[in-house]
Amino acid sequence: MQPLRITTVQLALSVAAMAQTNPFVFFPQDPERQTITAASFVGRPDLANAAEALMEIDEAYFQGIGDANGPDRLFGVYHWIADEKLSTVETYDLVIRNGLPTGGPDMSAGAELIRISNLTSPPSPSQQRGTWIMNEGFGLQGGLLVNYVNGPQTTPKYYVGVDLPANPLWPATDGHALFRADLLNANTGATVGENHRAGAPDPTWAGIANGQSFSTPWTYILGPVVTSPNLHIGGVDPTSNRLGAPGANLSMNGLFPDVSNNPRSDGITVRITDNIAPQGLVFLGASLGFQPPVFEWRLQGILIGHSHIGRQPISLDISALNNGEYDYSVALPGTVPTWMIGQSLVFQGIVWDTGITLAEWTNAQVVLF
Amino acid sequence: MIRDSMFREAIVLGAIATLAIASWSLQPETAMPITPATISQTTPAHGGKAAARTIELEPATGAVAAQTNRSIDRSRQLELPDGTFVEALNDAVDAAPIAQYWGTGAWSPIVAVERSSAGIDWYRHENGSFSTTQMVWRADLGRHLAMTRVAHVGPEPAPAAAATATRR
Repeated sequence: MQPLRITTVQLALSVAAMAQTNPFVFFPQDPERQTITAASFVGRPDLANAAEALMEIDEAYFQGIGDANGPDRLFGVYHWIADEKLSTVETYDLVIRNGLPTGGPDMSAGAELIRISNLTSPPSPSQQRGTWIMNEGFGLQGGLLVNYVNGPQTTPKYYVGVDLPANPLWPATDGHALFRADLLNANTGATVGENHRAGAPDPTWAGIANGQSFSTPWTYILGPVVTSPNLHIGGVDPTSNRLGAPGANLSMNGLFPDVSNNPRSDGITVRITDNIAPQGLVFLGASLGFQPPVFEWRLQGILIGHSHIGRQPISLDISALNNGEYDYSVALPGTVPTWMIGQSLVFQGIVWDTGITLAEWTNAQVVLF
Repeated sequence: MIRDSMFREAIVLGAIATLAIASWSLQPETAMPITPATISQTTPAHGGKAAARTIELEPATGAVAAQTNRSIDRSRQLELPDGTFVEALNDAVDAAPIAQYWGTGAWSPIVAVERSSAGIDWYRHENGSFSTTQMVWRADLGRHLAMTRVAHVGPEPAPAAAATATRR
């Protein structure tokens, strides 16, 4: 095994970064390519109070998001602004911060990996509520490096979010909220949203400055912007209408499927997306649990990133992206045996841009049966 | 113990392979439908007409657009997906090309500049999207750096969840 190392493949990274970027969002549906029908509500992390809406990125679930040959390189934040009154401009901060060793976000100023303050929404003459799909870029020179040896990230979790100021007008007459999908145990009366097995942990947090932060039982349309291709695992529960449409839940259902056969026996899919090489070749593999990261030195300058599925993963498929998306059915509903409960499988892929002979690892994600 | 572990691993890996093959072979053509992208990036801007303090622009061939001479200092310009340039807004320097953050929708030409009540200038695009550049303070780098920001018109928001925050 090669140790994680920061190597300079400027040419390769520059070529990749010049084209487009990919938002890594953990939400039941792909907000760039699918109609959003699974949004339970638009909401704020702590009602009308000031709080950070934080997406938790946990190494136990995801590795290699934005892998730039060692560090994860984040190029911005993607989020949807739900504004109750478009004509009044909304003000917010973007923040990426460390976690506490005991769990949850570290809300100290020293734990902020980046904070961009006082951003505002676009102008509009409309007095109505509406949505802005925000893609906010730090630029190639401004990429934030996290998750590498001796880097600023000190815990296996970091948090990507939008810091909302207090707004007593929300939601009655004005205010900024985020699209969210509620967990089954959120007790909010949501008819659509997440669809996971019982006991799954909360995936997001309300980060409270000078107060007690708390986890929140929903996912947001929110995430870091990266230049590597993204991989998500989908869960398919044909007995549920929580998605609001046919298909796979690409967030909590894929991470925490219910295969108890009592009564659910979810299917599993893998989805890879990439705006940079939208017709690229795809190689998909898997392993039993995360493996120590492997850098393929023989392909230095050609293959960006690390394998988190070992040197000899289970090879599942060779195919191609179709307009930036690729879906693969690992197991149909009703086919995963109950003795798989307790096992963990990790999936990861490579997208090869044949036009410039440059390939990149996707992130790796686990499915916890 | 080790043998037990290896045996268990072999069984699990075999099961995965079997599942994958079985699912592939059993998969009907209609399985796992993926809804086509219908995010309303081509719908009109919120509220239609531009607000006050709007400067209408010529299309991309106009005065503020394309100068393709590579010898020109581009540090105060914003590169568009067609390779042309417009002035960067809000005194931004070295802003990232807009293509990096435009997303999956088709490019829409710039038609106007609008200043928001926050004093930020934005490019308004033909399809109602907005984009801008601005300098922001980066404490992690110890200097100001340009951001390139894109805002597309999204769908009608879901209902607001006023009374559902959950403190734990």
